[in-house]
Amino acid sequence: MFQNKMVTPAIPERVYTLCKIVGKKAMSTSEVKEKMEPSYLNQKSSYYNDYRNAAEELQLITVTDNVLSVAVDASVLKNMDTMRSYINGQLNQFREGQFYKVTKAYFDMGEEILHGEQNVANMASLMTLKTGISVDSMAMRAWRFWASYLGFGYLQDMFVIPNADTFLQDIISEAEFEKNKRYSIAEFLEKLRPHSDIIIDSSNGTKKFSFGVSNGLRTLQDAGAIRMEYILDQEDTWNLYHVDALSANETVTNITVLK
Amino acid sequence: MDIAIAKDRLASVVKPDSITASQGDFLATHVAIKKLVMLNQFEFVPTSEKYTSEEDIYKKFIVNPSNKHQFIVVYGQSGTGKSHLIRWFEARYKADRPDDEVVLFIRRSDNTLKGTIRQLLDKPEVQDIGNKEIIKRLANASAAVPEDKLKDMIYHNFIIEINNDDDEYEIQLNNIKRKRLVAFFNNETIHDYMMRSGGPIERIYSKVAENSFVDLDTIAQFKPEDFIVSVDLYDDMQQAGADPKADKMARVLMANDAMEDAKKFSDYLNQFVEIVIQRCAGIEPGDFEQVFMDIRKELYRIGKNLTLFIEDVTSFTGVDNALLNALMEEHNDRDICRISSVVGGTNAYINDCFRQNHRDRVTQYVYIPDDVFDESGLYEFVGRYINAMSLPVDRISEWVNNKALPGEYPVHEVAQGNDWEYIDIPHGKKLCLYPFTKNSIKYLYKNELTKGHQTPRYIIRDIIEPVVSDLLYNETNFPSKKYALVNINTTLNFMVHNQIQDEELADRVFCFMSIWGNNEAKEFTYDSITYIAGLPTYIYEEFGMPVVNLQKADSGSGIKPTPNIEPEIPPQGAGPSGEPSNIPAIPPEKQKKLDDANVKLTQWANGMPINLSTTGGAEGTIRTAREDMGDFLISAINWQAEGVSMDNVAKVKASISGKASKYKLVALENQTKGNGYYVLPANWDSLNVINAFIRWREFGNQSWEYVGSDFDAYVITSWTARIKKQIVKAVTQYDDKNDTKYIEAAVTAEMYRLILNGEYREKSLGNLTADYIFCNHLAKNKNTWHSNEWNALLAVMHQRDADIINRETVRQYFNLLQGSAAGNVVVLDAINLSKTIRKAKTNKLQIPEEDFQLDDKVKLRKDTYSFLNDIVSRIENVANAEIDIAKKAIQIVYDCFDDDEVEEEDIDALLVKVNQFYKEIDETQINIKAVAVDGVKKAIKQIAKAIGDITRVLDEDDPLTILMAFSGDPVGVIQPLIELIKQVEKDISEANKQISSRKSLLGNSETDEESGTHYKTELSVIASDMDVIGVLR
Repeated sequence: MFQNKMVTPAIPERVYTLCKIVGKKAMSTSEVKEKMEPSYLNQKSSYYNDYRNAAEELQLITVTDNVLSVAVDASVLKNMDTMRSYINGQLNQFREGQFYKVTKAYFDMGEEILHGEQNVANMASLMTLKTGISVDSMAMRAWRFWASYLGFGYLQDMFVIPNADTFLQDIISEAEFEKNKRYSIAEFLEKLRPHSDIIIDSSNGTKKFSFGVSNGLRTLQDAGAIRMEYILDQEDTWNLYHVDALSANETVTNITVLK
Repeated sequence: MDIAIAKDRLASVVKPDSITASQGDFLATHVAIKKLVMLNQFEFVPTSEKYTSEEDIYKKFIVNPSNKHQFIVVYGQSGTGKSHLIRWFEARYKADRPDDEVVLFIRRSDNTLKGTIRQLLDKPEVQDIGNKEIIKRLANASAAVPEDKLKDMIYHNFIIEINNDDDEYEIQLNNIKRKRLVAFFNNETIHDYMMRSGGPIERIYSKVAENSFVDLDTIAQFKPEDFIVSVDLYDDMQQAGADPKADKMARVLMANDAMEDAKKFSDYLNQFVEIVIQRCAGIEPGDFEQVFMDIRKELYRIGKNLTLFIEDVTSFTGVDNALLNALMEEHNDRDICRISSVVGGTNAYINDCFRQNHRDRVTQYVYIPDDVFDESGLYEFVGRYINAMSLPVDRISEWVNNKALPGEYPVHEVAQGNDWEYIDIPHGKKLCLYPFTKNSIKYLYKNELTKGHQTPRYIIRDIIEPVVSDLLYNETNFPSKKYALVNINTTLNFMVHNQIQDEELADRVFCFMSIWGNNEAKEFTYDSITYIAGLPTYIYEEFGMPVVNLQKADSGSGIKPTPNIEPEIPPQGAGPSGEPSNIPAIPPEKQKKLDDANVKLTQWANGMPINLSTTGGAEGTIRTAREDMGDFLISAINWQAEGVSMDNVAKVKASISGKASKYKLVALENQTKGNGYYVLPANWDSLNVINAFIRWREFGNQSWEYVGSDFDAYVITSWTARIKKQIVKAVTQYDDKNDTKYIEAAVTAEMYRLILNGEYREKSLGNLTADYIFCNHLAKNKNTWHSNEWNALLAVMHQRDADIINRETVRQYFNLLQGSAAGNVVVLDAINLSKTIRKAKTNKLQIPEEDFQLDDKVKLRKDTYSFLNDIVSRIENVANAEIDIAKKAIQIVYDCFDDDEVEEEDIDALLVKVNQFYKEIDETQINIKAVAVDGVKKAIKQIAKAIGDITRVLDEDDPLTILMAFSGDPVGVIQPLIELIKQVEKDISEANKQISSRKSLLGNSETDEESGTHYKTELSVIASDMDVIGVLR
C-alpha cells in the first residue's frame, strides 16, 4: 500500500481493527482472518492480505511464522487519531511508494487541481505523468481513503480538496515545538522536516506554500493552533498561497505554536 | 456638521412634511427640482422623460406673464414633494408679485376639511366678503364634533343616501340591491367592521375631522376590498344574527368572484361621499363655490387679481367639486377677478376624484416623478438638511429676512467631519456631508427606500433623521443600526470578520465599509493617506473602529474632502485572484441568484428568521446550499475513523434526504421550519460558508471551475474542520445526553428473532455467538405446536420485512466499508461486534424501558427500537400462552405415567407394555390394529428431553427462559408420545368393548353378576357329579 501499489481494500479502519485484535494477544494469521472475515460468512474472496500487509508495511504489526504481533506501543493504537499521528510520522520511509509520490504531486499542482478533473479515479494518467511511476485508477481510488484519513484534504465524493490541516497538526505535535514560542519560519520548517517533505518543498527556493498547505496552515490558525506573523526586517519570509480575501496576511516570517 | 447645534435643531429641521417646517428651514433645505414633467392632459404615471426645471415652470406659469386665467395641477405620488414645490412657488411669487396681485395660500395643515375651513376663515380676503350667512355656516362647520358621533353620522348618512337614492347619480343599483345594501349596512357586525380602525368610515372621517392620525394622502373613499366578506366576518354575522337580506348580500360578497360586485358597491357609495361630508360638516353644497366667487367679486371690485396656491386639493374633500367649479370659472367679461390657481394632489386623487369635465379644463399639469432628484440633487438635498440643522436659527432667520438670496445662503462652520466629503452648490459654496458620504447616500437611497418611497419625504424620514440621530446619540458606536446589506462583497466580509474577532465590532466595520465606503476589499495610498474600502483610515479612527488590512492596490476610489479621487480602472484580463482569464466569466443571472440569496442571508445574519420551505427564489437557492452542505459533510467526514458505523451514517443520510424530511444535517438558526443535527449560527461566518456553497453550485455548476473557487475551497474545508466534532457528536447522539444505541436494540431483537424462529434452540444464551447472527439458518417455524400468540408475534416481526431489515442492520453495522456502499466482501469490526453481543447477553436481552429511543429523529434507528418493542411488549403473553398449551399437553403424559418425572426408561417401559398389549390383542383375535411405536422409539431421547424442558419451565416466570425452553417446539416434539398414549387408551377402550360384546354372545343377556351365578350352578352340578364318580370308584 505504501511501499508499492495502493489497493482499495486496505482502508485505515480495517488496518486499525486488525491491529486492535492483535493488540489483545498475538494470533496466527488465520485466527485474525477468522475474526475479521469469518469462514461462516462463506465469502468467495478475501481482502485480508491487503490490510494485513498495510499494517505490516506501516510497522504497526510484525508477522513471524504466521503469527501477528503488535509492533508499536499501545498508545499508538489508543484510537484512530493516535494511529494516524503515528502513520504520518512514518510516511517519510515510503518516499518511493505510490502514496507518497501521488500525494506530493497532488499538492504540487496547487490550486490548479481545482480546475480540471474532479474524480481522482480519472486522474490516474495525470498522476502517472507527474510522478513518473505507473498509477492506475484503482490506486487513485485507494489513495483517496488514506489522503482523507491522514489529513491531506477533505473528500468531496471522488475528489479530495487539498487542505493539510490535520497532517500538519500531527507533524507539528510530533516535532514538539515549545508552546507560545515564536519560531522563525526557517526554524519552524526545519523542525517539521523530514515529515513535511511530502507536501512542503523547502529546496526549490520559491518559498511559497502550496494551495493545500496554505489552506492547512490557515485552518490551523483559524482554530487557534498556530499563529502566523509577518515581522518586518526578518530574513526569511514565506508566502502563503494568494487568495484575495486572505491576502492581508499572506507573508509569513514567524510561526508560534499555541496548542 | 456641528453636533452641538444639531442636537437642538434636528427635530425642528427634519420634518417629513414641508408644511410643518419653519419658513427659514424650509427655504434653507430647498433643492431646485430639475425633473418635472409638463403635460397638457392627465396621465396617471407619465412616460415622458422630457423634463423641465422648477425655475422654467415658475417663469412660464407661476409668474403668469400673460396675466391669463389658469388652473395648474401639480401631482405625483405621496411624498414626492408636491407641497414643497407649491410652497416654494408661493414663497417666491409672494416676493415677486405685482402690486395688484393678491396671493392666497391654502396650506395643507392637517389636511382636513375643518382645518381648511378654519384657514379660510382666518384670511382677511374671506372676512371682507359681504355674505355673512355663509361665513356663519362655515364657522359652525369648523366646530369640533366628538369622534364617535361624527363617525356614526357619516355612516348613517350613507344609509340615508342609499334609502333616498332616486337614480339621479351615474352609477345605479336596482331597488332589491339597494335594500340588501341597506340591510347589510344596518347589520351590527358590518357596522363595526366598516367603522374599524383603517376602515372606510375612518378614512372619510379623517378628511373631515381635525387631529386625525392617518396618512395625509389618504383618499376619503370606499375601496372594493372594503366589501369583501371573509369567512370569519360571515361567521360573526351569523352568530350575531343577520337579517336575511344582509345575509344574502354577505354571501354574494363572499364568493370567489365577489370583487366585481364589491367594486360596483364601492363606486356606488363613493358618489355620496361629497354630500355626506357636507351634511356632516353642516355646510350647504353651494357654500364653497359661493365663498370663492364672493372673494373674486370683491377683488374685482377693488381692481385686483388672485393667485391661489392650494397645497393639497384633498383638504377640500367633500367640497372639491364645488371648489373646482369656482376656480375653473373664467372671468371673461364678468365682474369677477382673474384667477391663477396652482393646486396639488396625488395621482390617485386626480384620477379618482376629478370629474372628466374638470380634468379637461386644467390649463397645465405638472408631474413630479418618484425619483425627483438626480445623484447630485440627492447629495445636495442631504447636504442642505445637514447644513440647516448645523446652523443656529437666528442665522437662518437673518438670511430669510434679507430675502433669502441664494448667493447669501448661510453655510455652517464644520465642527465635525472637516475631512469628509463635500458637495458643491451654486455660488461657489460647499456643504459638508458628514456623517454621510456620497456612497452612503447613494446606497441608502437605493436600498433603504422601497420603490415608490424614493421621495423627499422618505429621504428625510428614513435616511437623514435615523442616520443623524444615530450619530448624535450613539457616536461611539456609529453606525449602530443593523442594516440589511445588499450586494455583499463576500471577500470584504471575510477579510473584516477574519481580522476582527469581536463579531459585533466586525459587523459594524463591515457595514460601514459596505455603505459608507466603496464596498471594495482594497486599500491604497493616495497623497500619504491610506484608504481602506475607499475611506481614509482617520475616519475609522474617529469612530473607534480598527483599521483592517485589505488587498493592496495601486489606486482606487475613495472620499477626499474635495475633489474626489479618480475612480480606478480595473486591469483587464485577470480575475480577482490573478487566475487566468480563460475561466469563464460568471453569467449575470447566476450572479443575481447569489446576490438575491445574499439579501436574504444578510437579513438572516442580522437576526431575521429565514423560511427555507420553498424551493424557488432566493430561499430556494439557500435551501439547496444547505442540502449541499449536508452532502459535503457526509462525504468529507471520515465517519469510520471517527468511530461511527457507516450503517448509522446511512440511516442518518436516509432521514435527512427528501423534501419531507424535517431534520436536515445542517439547519440555519432561526429557520422558520425544521431543524438539523448542526445548527448554523446566524452570523457572517456562516454567511460566507453558505455563499461558498452557492457559488460552487451556481458559478461552478457543482464544480470548482470558477474564478475565486480557491477561496471557497478554503472556506468550506476550514469550516468543516471547525465543526466536524460537533457534527460527529450530533450524528452519534440520540439526544443531548445519550448516544444512539440502536445497534444494541437491533442485536437484542435479532437474538429474540433467532429464538422465536427456532434457529437458536438452546436453553441459555451462552452459545448465541456471532455465527448465529451472521450465518443463514433454516427457518423452523412451520407446522409447529406453538401458541397462536407465538405465531402472531412471528407474523408481526415479519410485517413489512421488519425482521429482514433488522437483520441487515446488524450485518452492516459491523461491516468495515471502503467508501459508502457495501461491497461483496464483509470485513467485520470484530471487536465491537463481540462487545455488543456480549452486552446483550449479559443483560439477558433486556433493555430498560426508559432506554428505548422510540422518538429518535432518525427514522431507521427508531424503527430498530420499534421492532424490539414489538417483540418485548408481547413476549410475556407469548410465554404464558406457551405454558398453557404445554400444560395441557404434558398433563396427558403425566397422567399416563402417573408421574411428572418421565425419563427415557419410563418411556421405554411404556413402549414394552404397549407392544405386549397389542400382542395379546392380536392373540385374542380382538379386531384392533396394532399401533407402531417406532416413531416414539426413535425420538425417545428428544421426547424425554422435551418433557424435561417443559416440566422445568411450567412454574417459570422469566419470559426469556420460557421462550428459550419452547424455542425448539417441545410440545411438537412430544406429540408422537401423546398420540401414542391417546391411541393406546382408545384401543384399550375398544378392546374392552369387544370383550364385553363377545361375552354377551356366549348366552343370555344376563349381567355379569348373574353370569357368575350361572356358572355357579354348573360348577355345583360338576362338583356333585364328581362326588358321584368318586363314590362309584
